[in-house]
Amino acid sequence: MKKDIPKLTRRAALAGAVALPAMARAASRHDFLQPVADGAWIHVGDTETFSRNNGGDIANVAVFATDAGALIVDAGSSAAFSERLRAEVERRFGGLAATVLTHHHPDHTFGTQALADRPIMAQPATAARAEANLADYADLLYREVGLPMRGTEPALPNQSVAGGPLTIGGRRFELVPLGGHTEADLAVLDVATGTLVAGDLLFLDRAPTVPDANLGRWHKSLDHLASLDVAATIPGHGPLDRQGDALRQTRDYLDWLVARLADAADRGLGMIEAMREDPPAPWADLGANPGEYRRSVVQIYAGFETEALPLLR
Amino acid sequence: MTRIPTPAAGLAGTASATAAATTARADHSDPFDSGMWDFHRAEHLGDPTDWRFDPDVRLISPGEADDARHLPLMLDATRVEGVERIVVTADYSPFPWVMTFTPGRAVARLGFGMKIDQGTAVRVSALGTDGTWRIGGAFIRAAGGGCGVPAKAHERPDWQSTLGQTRARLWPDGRLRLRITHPMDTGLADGAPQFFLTEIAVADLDGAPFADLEIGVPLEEDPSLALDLPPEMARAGVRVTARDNMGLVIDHLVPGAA
Repeated sequence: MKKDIPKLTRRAALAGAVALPAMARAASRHDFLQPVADGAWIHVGDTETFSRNNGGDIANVAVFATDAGALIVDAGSSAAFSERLRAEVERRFGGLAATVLTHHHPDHTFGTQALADRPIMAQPATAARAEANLADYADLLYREVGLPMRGTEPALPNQSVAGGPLTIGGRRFELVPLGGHTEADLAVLDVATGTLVAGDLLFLDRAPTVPDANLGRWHKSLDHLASLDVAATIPGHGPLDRQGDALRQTRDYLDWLVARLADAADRGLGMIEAMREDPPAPWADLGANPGEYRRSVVQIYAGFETEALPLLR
Repeated sequence: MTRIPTPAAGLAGTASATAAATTARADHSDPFDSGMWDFHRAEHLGDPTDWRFDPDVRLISPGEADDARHLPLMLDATRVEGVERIVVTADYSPFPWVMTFTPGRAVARLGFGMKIDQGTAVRVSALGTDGTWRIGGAFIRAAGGGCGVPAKAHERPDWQSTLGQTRARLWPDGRLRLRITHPMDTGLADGAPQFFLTEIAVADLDGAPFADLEIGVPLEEDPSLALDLPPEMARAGVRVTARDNMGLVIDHLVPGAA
């Protein structure tokens, strides 16, 4: 997939103007945090699924500099990651102001441990789902990731947010409550730079995940994101996007997935028949595929069967 | 994305004949090398002497269970001529016997889903009309626990209102898809005694039995099945009956394929 450095649009260049000199000196794709715009940073996780190799570091994290310290959006998967992230913001941004969680999945919420002395904000449904799934997620991560998970005991959200404006240390954000990837997804827009943190409503070069999806609602959320005035998008997984690729790709992939599974169910295929043929290009090349596609079939095929098989009376 | 094709009868016959000619003596070395196989062969196949591992009996699997409560599988013994019945077992499970499928006049192939309690070989043992058991299977990697978690149904207080709901459809090429809403409680989850479908049968419109499944608790919740019938039967319509261990009887006509 695309690995080149994204082209800067004029608007994005303006938004990032202040940071650019620093970028020229220090930016490296291997840096823990890479610059997005003035005071906006991204940590890019691996685009595969949980593994020993990536230590569970598969989700993106956004960091914004404010006068009160850093605002972090999403927290990674492990205690080790959490400590690294905390040390980084202490060293570079004068401490931690608060953390916002976009949704309840563990690759975004299990790294809250070292952030728990400050507010951890989330929608009420996100907090509820995080708590209800804590043990199952811990089982999953300890099994798939193993040793790098050592000592991970995530903190639950401690401050409820709804939506609307949020000002932290003089920096203004707009919280956009949406849903569809999960019961409650929260997008965060940094007003000054037009940087959108989309959480897992958007994926780029990584197959979207659907274990808790409501695909119709997800579509409406994509429409809403498309209506926002955005200079740069931080997808939940995959590289920084200044072109709108994440929105297009996520929508196209979900449309393809729905069409494929609806067609399979309508032709009478059993689940394993729908699963055994891998996705075609370009979807075959997405990070985590074909595994993510196969998981998706297990997770959502029953719904397509319900549509295809009449209820007998 | 296609259905698993049925081999042409001539080809299947040729393959079997070749296999028979070159196999001087049945090969009993277990491809999965697991300890329970001898016990299960005695317990669930009646300790036959005439048996062998045979690649013509296939279990199509994802190789790994992403959801231990719903492992999607398809058994396929269509390369064996004259299959009397097919027994599905799991080597390592609190409930090794999964089901016995008597294809009757249906094709010796079945799509189904099962729970899986740990990584294990799943065996498909097909008894031919020649008296020989032919054994296939697949090893499934799994985190496990599929038999001990409560059924999803019990998350809803009104789950009994949809109990036994049946969805089904026939296709002109003979495919029958069938899904019955049932918790398929194993008895291992707290507060939920064993409650499961014990039999699903397909008959023609005159009531003459066609294909039959005896099933156990490891079959997935809301069992979803794919069978292949002779096309003329699928066009005419079939009768599906099912019963559970608490006396529920399900009886439906599935309209013929349009």
